[in-house]
Amino acid sequence: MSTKHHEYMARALRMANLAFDSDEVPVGCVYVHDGEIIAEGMNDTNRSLCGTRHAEFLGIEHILQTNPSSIFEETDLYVTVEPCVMCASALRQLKIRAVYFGCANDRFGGCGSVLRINSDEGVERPYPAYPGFYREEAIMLLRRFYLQENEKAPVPKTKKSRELKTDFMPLDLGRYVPRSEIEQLYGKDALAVLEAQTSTSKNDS
Amino acid sequence: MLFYSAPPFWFCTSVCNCFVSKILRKRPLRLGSSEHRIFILVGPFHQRGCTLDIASYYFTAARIAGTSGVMSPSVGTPHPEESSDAVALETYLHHKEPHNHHHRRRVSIAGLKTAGSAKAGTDGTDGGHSDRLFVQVKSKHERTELELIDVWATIIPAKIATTAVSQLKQKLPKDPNSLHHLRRLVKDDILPKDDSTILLSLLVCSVAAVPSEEDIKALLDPLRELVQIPIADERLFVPTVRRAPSFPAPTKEQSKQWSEGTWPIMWRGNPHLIITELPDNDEDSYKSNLEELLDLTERAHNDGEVPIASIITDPETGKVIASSIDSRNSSKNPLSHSVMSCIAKVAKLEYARRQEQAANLNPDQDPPTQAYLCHNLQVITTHEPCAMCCMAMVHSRISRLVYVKNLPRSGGIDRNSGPGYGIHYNKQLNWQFECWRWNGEEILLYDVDESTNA
Ligand SMILES: [Zn+2]
Ligand SMILES: [Zn+2]
Repeated sequence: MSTKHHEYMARALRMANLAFDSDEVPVGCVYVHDGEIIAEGMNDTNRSLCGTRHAEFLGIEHILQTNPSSIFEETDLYVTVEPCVMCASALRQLKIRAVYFGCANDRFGGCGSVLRINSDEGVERPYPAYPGFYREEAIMLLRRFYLQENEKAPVPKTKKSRELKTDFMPLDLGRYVPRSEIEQLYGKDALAVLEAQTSTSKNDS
Repeated sequence: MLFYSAPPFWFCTSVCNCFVSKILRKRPLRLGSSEHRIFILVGPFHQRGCTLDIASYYFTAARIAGTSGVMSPSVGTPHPEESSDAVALETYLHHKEPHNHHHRRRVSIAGLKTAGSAKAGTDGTDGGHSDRLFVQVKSKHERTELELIDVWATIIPAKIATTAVSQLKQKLPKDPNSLHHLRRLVKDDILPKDDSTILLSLLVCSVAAVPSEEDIKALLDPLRELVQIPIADERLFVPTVRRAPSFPAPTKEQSKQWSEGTWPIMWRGNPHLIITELPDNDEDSYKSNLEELLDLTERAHNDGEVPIASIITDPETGKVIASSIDSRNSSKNPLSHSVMSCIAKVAKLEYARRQEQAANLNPDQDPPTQAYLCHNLQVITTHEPCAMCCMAMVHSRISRLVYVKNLPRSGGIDRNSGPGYGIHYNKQLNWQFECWRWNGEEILLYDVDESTNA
């Protein structure tokens, strides 16, 4: 299924590739306002020596150079990897309208993986965060990056860590998206898959 | 109409008006002043149940003003000649931020004591029971193996227990071991020789605090005088050495196990919520850091910024590496929080340093050491940081966070703030840092709206 969301995510992936080529953790993003990309961002932590220079922040700063912060209320973010806790909180403080992401971020994810900064009770309004747009591409880019990092390491890692994995665990949509919204965004099949998963896990327990 | 008014109440120069207004906002009070005193007009004399309220109000006010003791309320009438003042004050109170903060600079943090001592009698369940200037919000150090220390104990009659404990507390030196997790009094199975008295075991202090048995005897002997009818039991008031767990157990079950055969632990929930102590040296150095923060917030306030500030220091040298105020107003970027700016400054400094090094590289020398992000540095700030800033500290490998005030709606640290993220000790994240909150007398921070993200 290809949608306009995939179109924007393809642009975000281009930014992630750019990050990869610059020896940065390959994460890229675009901000979309009124159907138009108003900013792009890529990770910049290694070059800047600053652990907070995530793709999301570079885009935000670009937007704020020429716009009031209220523009975010009508802006969507497309980012190849789930925003980390820091970015998830930043986006909420800006009152972003919605976030679409590629793959989950099991280590730092703030939109459902580690914390649910986007939907918890909080000062600013919550925002929805939808996973799975060009998810496999985003994962492969990360895997290639970490493989390359391992090869650079002075002490070579185990053989296993030197192989590029190409299999994917199924995405647990139910963890990120309310059931009522799944069909519209991901199709009937996705909902059926999720329901099948839930019923097996119920039988297991 | 009759009003309650304060007895002469010195308006000491360290009290800033905004602070008085802060109290006033909580209660329907009015303020009047003459040359050297403030009258606080509380309400009609006949209002039922008013007296206690007023007493507690004065107590807070007195503490803020640096006056000791509770000021008892008295009956008085408003002075007619102060009416012009009163009008001015009323106008003043209706404006949210009319501040003249010239007085605030005189506040010396160095002189501030702990608020814990004033709160004596509160139980420790919420972690507020400490006579230290900083309390740990939670620790990443998870100790799971039982360690034992030697403690002095003795046997006393239950009747004098409360008096004995408070008398001892005054005389005992500071204990190098924290004993907060241990029961003070234990009803061991001590059979009294005389059935009429209940006997209790009393924990005196750690042996490390008072190594000599003679000294302990000298401390315990005066307690004998508290017993009015002599009890013929030679075990009373004699010091014995017992073994006790040196820190609280991580689980309730372990707490029970550890207490078997040793001095029993008092279960107060997860030990990472329980206060441990910051060394005196650290407390002192943070006090001077806090003074600097107050200067920064004053600048922020005068510049029309949100009065929140942070500094990053190197705990090894005490050197301030970066400092910043919140700049979301002037930058028109709601994310320009002071912690974020400090972290960015540290990165810029290191970036510049490396550029300079690269320019002057001498191939014969070893490559110079390079700093990694904010590794081993600490953040000292006025308000509990928001989730964004907390995670920024995780990404930056900050080792310790010290802050003054909780922000219950937006904070990302305290378990009672927001959804209780406790980002500094989340084991799922790849980094944890220690966190300490100011526990001393209230510091005169500028008001920050409670929904602000610090
Ligand atoms: Zn991020
Ligand atoms: Zn913040």
